Parts: sequence; C-alpha cells; structure tokens
Amino acid sequence: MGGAGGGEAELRETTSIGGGPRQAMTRAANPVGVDAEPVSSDSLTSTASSPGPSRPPRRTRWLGRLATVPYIAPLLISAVAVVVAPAAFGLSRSLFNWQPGTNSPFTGISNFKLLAESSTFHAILVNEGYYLLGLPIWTLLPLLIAVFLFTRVRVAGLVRMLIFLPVVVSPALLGIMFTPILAPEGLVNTTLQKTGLGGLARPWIDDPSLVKPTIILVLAWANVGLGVAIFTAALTSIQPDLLDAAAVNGAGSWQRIRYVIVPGIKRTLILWMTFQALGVFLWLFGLIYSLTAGGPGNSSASIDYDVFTNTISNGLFGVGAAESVYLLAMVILIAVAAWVIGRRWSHD
Amino acid sequence: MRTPYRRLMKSGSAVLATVLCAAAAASCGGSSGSHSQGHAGKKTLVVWQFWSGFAAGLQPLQKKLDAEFEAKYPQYTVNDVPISFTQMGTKLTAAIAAGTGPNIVSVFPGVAGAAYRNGLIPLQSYITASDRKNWRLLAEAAGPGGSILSIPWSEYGYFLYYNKKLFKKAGLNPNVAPTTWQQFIKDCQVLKSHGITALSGGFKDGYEWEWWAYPLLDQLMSPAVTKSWLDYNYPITSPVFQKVWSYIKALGPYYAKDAFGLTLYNDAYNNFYAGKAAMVLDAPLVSNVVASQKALGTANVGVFPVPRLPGSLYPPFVDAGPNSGWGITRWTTDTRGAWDYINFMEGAKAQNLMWSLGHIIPNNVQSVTPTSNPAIQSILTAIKNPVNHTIYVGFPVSVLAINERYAGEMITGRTSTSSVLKMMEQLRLQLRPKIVG
Repeated sequence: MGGAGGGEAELRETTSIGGGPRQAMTRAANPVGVDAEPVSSDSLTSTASSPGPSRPPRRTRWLGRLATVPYIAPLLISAVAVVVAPAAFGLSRSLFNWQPGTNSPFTGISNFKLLAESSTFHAILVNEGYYLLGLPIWTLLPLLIAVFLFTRVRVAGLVRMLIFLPVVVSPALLGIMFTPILAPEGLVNTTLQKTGLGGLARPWIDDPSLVKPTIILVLAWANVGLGVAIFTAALTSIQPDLLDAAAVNGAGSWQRIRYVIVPGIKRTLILWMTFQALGVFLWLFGLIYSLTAGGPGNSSASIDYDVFTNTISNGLFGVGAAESVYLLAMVILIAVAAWVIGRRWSHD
Repeated sequence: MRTPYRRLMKSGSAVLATVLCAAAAASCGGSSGSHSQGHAGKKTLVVWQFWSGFAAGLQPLQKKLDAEFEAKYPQYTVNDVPISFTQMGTKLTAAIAAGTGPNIVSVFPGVAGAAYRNGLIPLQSYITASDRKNWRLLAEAAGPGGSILSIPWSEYGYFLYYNKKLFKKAGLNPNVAPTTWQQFIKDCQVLKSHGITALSGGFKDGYEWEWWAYPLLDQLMSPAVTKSWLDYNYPITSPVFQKVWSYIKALGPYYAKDAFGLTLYNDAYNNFYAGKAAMVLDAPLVSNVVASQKALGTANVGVFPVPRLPGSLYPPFVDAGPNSGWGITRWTTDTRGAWDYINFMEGAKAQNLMWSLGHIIPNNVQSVTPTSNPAIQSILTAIKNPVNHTIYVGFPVSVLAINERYAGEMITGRTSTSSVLKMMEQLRLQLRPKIVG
C-alpha cells in the first residue's frame, strides 16, 4: 500500500543494527538514525526528477483491499462481538435508569446531568488531572535508566531484569503489597524512625494531600521496568557511531540525550507517554481498589474506580454507564491529542 | 499517506482498540456462582455467606451446620461459599445483574436488604405463626413496603469493653463503668491526662464511626422518627444526624493520633488486646470478649453498654438487632429447599451449636446460652431488654460506604461532617427508586 518512502523506511529499520552498504546509504540520507523522520513518499514524489514506480489504477487497488477482507473478517467479527457491541450497549444503557432484572425506564440525559453536577465526579476529574502530572516522572525515570544502562553498565542485562521484576506484579497485588509498607506504622515510617528520620514519617496513603503523589511514585516504581525495556529496545535503533560522533564533538551526556537520543526514539516516547496517559484513566482501578479504596474520602479515586463504585457498589448501573461514556470521551480526547502532538513532533 | 503518519496511525489504532476495550469493560458486568443443580441424585444449594468471616474459627462452625443440614435433608448438598462482608455487596449486585449466582445469601434485613430487591424473593409468605413466636427480631426484618427479604439470624448489641488495669492506673474506679455520656467523656479526659489512650480505634475502614452512630442515633430518634427512617422517608441531613455526627467527631482527641489511618478490623482490637488503650467499642460476637479476656486476663476486662446521651428519649437500653440475615435469590427454582435451609439455621438445634462452638448469640427463643463468664452473662442479660431496638437496618450499605470512606477525614476534621452527610443523602435519594420501588 505504501510508496517508495514506506518501503525504504521499513528496510532501513530491518538493517539498522547490522552494517553494510544499505545502512551506509541510509545513514547518508538520515543522519539522526533510523527512528527519526524518514524521507516520505510525498516528498519523494514531489522532488524526484524521475517518475516513481507506476501505481495501479484506483479500482484495482480497491479490489486488492477487498481481497484482504476474508483474512481479517474473523478478527473484525470478534472485535464487534466482544468490544464494539458491548460498548454500544453500554452507551445506550446510559440513557436509562438501568436496573438489571427489572424495568429500566428511559431517563434521557439525566444520568449525565447528575454526574456533571456531582461534586464527587468533579473531585475525581481533579484527581485524574493530578495523576497526569506523573507523566514526566513515568517517562524520564525509565528513559534515563535505560540510557544509563545502555551506555555505561557492564551487567546491564542483570540490572534490567531486576528492574523489570515489579512489572510482573499485578496492580491489585501491588496495592496489597504497598498497604503495609505505606501504613502509618508501616515499613517506610518505621524505617524512617529507626534511622533517626522520624520527622519525615507521614501518613502516606491516609492524608489527602499525600496520597496522590504517593500513588504516582508507586506507579513509577511499578512501570519503570517496562519503560526501561521499551526504551532500551528503541535505543538499539540508534547508530552507536552517532553517539560517539556527538561525544567526539564535545556533546555532554545531557546534550547527547537531548539532541541524539530523544529525536532518535521520539515515536517510542510518544507511544509510551500516550499509553501512560491512557493508563491514568483506564488501568488504575486495581491499584486504587486494593491500596486506598479511593480514599481518604475520594481523594485518590480514579474514574474507572468510580464507575465500579457507581455500578457495582451502589447498583446505579445507568449512572455507571453514563460515567463510562464520559470516560470514553476523555480517552478518545487524549488519544487524539497524543496523535496530533505526535504528528507535529514528527514534523519538527 | 506518509510513512511516519501511517506508523502513528498504527499507534492510533492500538490506542483506539484500548479505548473500545475500556468502553466494553465499563459496560459489562461480571458474575459467578451457580444454580441449584442435580449432582449424583442430589440437589445442590449454593450459599454465599459473610458471617463466618466475622471471627476466627467460624468457618468450621459453618461447615458443621451445613453437615447437620445435609444429614437432616439428605436430598441436598450445600455448596458453602464464604465471602468477606466487604465483597458481598458487590458480588451480589453483579450476580443480580447477571441473573445467576447463589440460592441463599447472607444479607442484612430491612432497607439494607431492600437494596437487593431485584434479586431476592419476599419471604413473608413462608413464615409460619410458630416461626413468628420463636424467631426474635422479625420486626426489624421488613423493609419499606413491608416486604421481608431477609430473615434475621443471630443477635448483636453494642458494648464497650474496658481494661480495668488502665482505669485503675488513671485513678478511676475499675468496677464502676460510665453510664452517661458526660461521665464517659470525663473518664476519657482523665485517662488522657494520665497519658493513656482512652479509646482504641481505627477509622480507615470506617466501621468505627457507624458503630458509634447506631447506638447514639437510637437514643435520639423518637419512635415516630424511627418508623419514618425505617420506611426510607427520613433525611440523613436532618438535625439528629448532624448532632450525632458531632458527638462522634468530638471523640477524636481520645483516640490515638494515628487512628485515622488504622482499621477497626483488626488494628483497634489488637491494640486493645495489647493494652495500648483503655476501651474499645464492639458489637459482639462474644468471641471478642473472650479474646480480650484471654489477652488481658478475665478479671481485667469489664463490659458496659454505650452510655446514655443527654436528651435520650428512652430508658437505658442497648442498640441490639440482627447480626445478619438469610435471603433467597429470585433465580432459585427450588425455593422450598432454600427455605428448609433457612428454617434449619433458625432452629434451636443449629443455634445451640452456634452458641456452643462460636459464641454467636442466638435469636431463637428456644435456644440456650449456658455460660459462667460474668462479662458474657451481663451482655446476654442486656441483649434481652425489651426496650432494645436498632436503626442500622435503615441504611443502605452503599450509603454507609460513603461515610466509611470519609470516617478518617471527619475524625481529623479535614472534611466536615455536614458535607459527608450531604453526600450520603444525595446517594440515599438516588437509590430511592431502587429500594422503595
């Protein structure tokens, strides 16, 4: 489906680690490494003096696309049955006082209105915004560790494996694990007291002003291993001689990160940050449920936790469905914003 | 389309898939459990119960009771599923949404049970005149509209246990427990002035606050107000709630400083057993009295009812009511078998076993509760006071859950009691159509 640019980019990616004439050619065309902005098909067609390969007629292309339908049909049908249809059902139920097992009268947008006027819902939106402040930590910490391990450590594999271990702990287990650690008389405070730092002891998850920063740090600990693994994989696509050349030209560590590494792995960075941002809305439930139960008060509740509370704990299924629609809208907004930002960054 | 954009589009597709999965997950309910079904010629009764999690050692008692039932009714097998109290509401709601799950379920009576009205069958037609005569607390069982969805089973009453040694250390008479609220507060002050934590408590799980609320609200709600409350017509934002919530908040200084971050289960009890505080509030389960005596010495543990508030509308009494109840789910086809199970559990034989093996106070008037323990004897005597009553069955569990979430915040003064009561009232009104119909 792609033109010459697409093929070139894919080929470059497959040959990026090894050497050879193809790589040399790529380097010449693309000095910042393979993960950076490749030469696009549009630019090729507009600047090349000789015409590119002839494109098949539009009708043929459509027929070609139609031919792929049987191959993806099982997946499409599954996606519709398992994902799209239940989602659409949930959307429709948000307009009812949904009471499974009995009559569910149509209530229009009253569930949405109720949430829009709810101080609890407002507090939860503030919580979500606060959690998003963790993005720089969740991104920079694994990135810096990955760079450090990539360039300076002999037993990097072992260190990476150790750092990766928390990733295999499920969020719910994570919450159970950290509850006694962060309790007022838990491991953290006891250790602080025993080392003469008792003045720093705090009710980490029992004080509304501390609970969200604490959760951000717990998430940083939990996700850093995955981030390191992903960024390390991305770093392997950067030409080592580029880093060497930068060093020879006097670039310090920070400058190499800023001007060579970050541009070289920017698509990975965008994807990582997008998923971390989505995670704030979609994947906090297990941790919140087992660590704080949304408390103190609602000060750590996330929107997915509140959907659960409204739906299952309170039995307000219609309200829960409406809240999930809000959640869906927010997630789409974030996804679109990330996509737009990613596009712009790719242009830079 | 240019290549990097296509890659971003691929990323976008992954993101979109995530989004759709989120929407699907948000719209789907889960369930577990099974119906009555034939199994080697026998029918299976699936029982979800939370009561055996109330104290250590109760699960063997439940198994013993199930075995006794199976011996009496050999056509049935009991599949007993212990579920924690905190999980029961969510699991039952999910089961109701799915239309499948247990046949018999632990659920509190009154409004608390009515919150699951869509999934439980009315039981009043099963109750015989003899049952009415023998089963105490049936008066508390009816929800708004008079429907009985849960049969009360076993009794509780709110009492404070106190450490006589610590009372003596503070110069208080260890044999004279406070009977009025003023005296109680004065004793707390004396204990505090001697460096003793007066009250062992934990507000993180929130139960402590509501355990104070019931026996205090009881005293200030007139019979007419109580009826209105139990009929789901009395607002939580009314002055009596505001007043009681203020009383509880005023207890804050007599707890340990970190009580807001501790739990009632089990930090509060463990600290009391360890002699770290002078008093602890409990709704026995007499087994907690036994545990206290074991930890502190039988002679060192005293028991007294929640003191009388100024302006109490009743003669001295204790807040006492059903410790739990049994309901039958709508999808149960063999309702007769399910009722036989409840009938058996309400019977004197089963309830005598409950007392002898688990120190659970029976609600069958024909059962016997032999004991030589003076503290337990005083509880059993107080429990039978005809003035006793309770209002806790007027709370939907999910409304209480709001208070539980904010209990630590209220006791520290970080959140006002009136704002929490307002939130509770908002949810109470939202739930009205579901509970009242």
